[in-house]
Amino acid sequence: MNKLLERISNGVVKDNPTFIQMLGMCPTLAVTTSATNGIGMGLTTTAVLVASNFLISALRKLIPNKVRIPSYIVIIATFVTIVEFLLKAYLPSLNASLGIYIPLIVVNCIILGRAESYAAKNPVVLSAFDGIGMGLGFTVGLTAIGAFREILGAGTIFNFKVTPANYEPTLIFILAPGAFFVVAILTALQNKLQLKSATNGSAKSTLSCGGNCGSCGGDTCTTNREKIEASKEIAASKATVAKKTEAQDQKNS
Amino acid sequence: MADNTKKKSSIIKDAISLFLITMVAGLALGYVYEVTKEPIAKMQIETVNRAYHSVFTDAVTFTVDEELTKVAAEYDMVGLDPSFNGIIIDEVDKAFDDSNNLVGYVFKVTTNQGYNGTISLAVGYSLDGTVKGIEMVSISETAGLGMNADTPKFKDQFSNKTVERFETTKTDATEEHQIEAISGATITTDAVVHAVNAGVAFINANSTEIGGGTNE
Amino acid sequence: MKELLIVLIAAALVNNVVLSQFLGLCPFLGVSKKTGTATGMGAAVIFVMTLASLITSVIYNYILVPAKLEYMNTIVFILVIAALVQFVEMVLKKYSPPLYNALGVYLPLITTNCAVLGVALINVTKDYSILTSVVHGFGAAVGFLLTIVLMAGIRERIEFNDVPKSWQGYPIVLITAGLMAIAFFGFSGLL
Repeated sequence: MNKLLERISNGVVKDNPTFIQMLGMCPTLAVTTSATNGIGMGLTTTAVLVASNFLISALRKLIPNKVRIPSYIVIIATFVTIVEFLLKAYLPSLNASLGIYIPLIVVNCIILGRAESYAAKNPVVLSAFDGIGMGLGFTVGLTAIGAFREILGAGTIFNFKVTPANYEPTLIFILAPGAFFVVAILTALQNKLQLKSATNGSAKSTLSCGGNCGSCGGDTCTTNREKIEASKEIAASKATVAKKTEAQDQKNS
Repeated sequence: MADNTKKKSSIIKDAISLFLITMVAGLALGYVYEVTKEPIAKMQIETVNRAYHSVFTDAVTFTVDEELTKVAAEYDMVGLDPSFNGIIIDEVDKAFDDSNNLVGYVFKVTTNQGYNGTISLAVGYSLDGTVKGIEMVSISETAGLGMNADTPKFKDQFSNKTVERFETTKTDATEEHQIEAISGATITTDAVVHAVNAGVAFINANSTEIGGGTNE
Repeated sequence: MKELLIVLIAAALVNNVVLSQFLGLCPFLGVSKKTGTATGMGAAVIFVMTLASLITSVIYNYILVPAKLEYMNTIVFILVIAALVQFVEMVLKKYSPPLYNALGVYLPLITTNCAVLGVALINVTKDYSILTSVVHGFGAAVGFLLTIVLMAGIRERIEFNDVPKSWQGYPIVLITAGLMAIAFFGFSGLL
């Protein structure tokens, strides 16, 4: 029982995908124009994450190692489409406001990342709870950013007016640039307060996949990074070798 | 050699398992699609119906006007006005009051002029040429900006106005045909205004009841 | 012709994939440190995105629609894009080593680039014909190239600036992206 709770607190607090791992930046920036959208996107992603973690963990001994990434993608894409049908049938307005970002959950780093780094190695129930934890963590992150942008940009939260009548909403915060600014402020705060975060200060972070490739797409990402590093720094081979061993270690662990 | 055959058989095994997973996924999807198909269709019809009732409160029953809907499907909207580019009238319904008299039309019009893609809305239009009201059927504009098109404050600007053509204004609306633009979302406002105009122009030009048809 | 031009300009500048649709942020933030690599990445995206738009819309219009399987588009598109990237990599390696050397390393990164899938899905939701889809895909990719190269140019200069410590790295890049997004608003007057 404790282990299950630990998975949830791990996802929501310790390894929060939005604030700590900085994963899934596309939806984080794109759909957080309001708190409602944030919570809708978060819960949709949670549903997909739990289902895919569950199934991938159940099939982990049957899926051949070499074709596991395509298999995971097929499984994830199936669940995403199923969730899309359900939204269309029962929550059409949410489906309309999230638009193409629903099918794009397929390429969300968090889901493939959890499949590769957790569900593929752990038993079914734990994996499902890991999905719940990570999903809730993502929901909390999106809702918080959405609420922040909605208050500043529209003066409302969940469509209720909260600011005094004489406050003129700063429109820019619900427009595209506002998304960049809010996340910039967030990461700057993390740096300032020395919080644990994927983007925190370290110069060697190459920022791919929203800051931390190693924890994102498993070894597809790691090899990608290897390749880029290798091409860039053939001359500075020393650095490359160091990075490669590091990546190798990650892969082996 | 032995190594080679082993490699080959493992490739085949990989391919087969990937194929199986894809096939099962495809079947599962097909099943869920069949199951949710009906609720999705029902939901869409219900949304449209609810919209029809709210845009034409005087009317009680609506029946599809097959003739006009058919004409609309092949109609050259741009021919009426260049600003109607990308606007399609999906459906025209006749509206009847409780004693079964024809009181006007409701129609569903879809425009792709929105900021984030298409916007569908229902418009009620009475026989005397009054726009009774408008209601969004599906809209996916930016929350807090374009989405404000789906607020009574914006929609009521169209209600009970007898004008041939609405126009967007960025200042306070002083005249009957002026629609005050949603702040920060002029594109959405224009899209809705053009869509309403297109529907009104189409009905005026094609309905025999309102008189356009007889003038031809 | 005029309509295609409008689609092209809208995709490249007005509805820029990165700055207004937030697609392809990973490579935009990750591979924009040097103008050289940014150009390589952008060129690879142009190549793959145009090709992917063509192939996905052909598959959609000639296989999925006749078979009434439109609802399978997400799963089919992601598999097609993944396979396409692998295939392009193999073909380039075999027949055009110089091009492979220039673009090869960026190709695998594109599989996980949500912009390619996103553009393919937009083509479908907007009911674009095959030709319009290709133009739209190309335009979106040109927009991507433009923003990533501009970003890399700016970042090369930021290196020499005295950025407050907590704003170094990620935060200042995001602020820059936000300012670029504001600048790109100016293009909405083009249409």
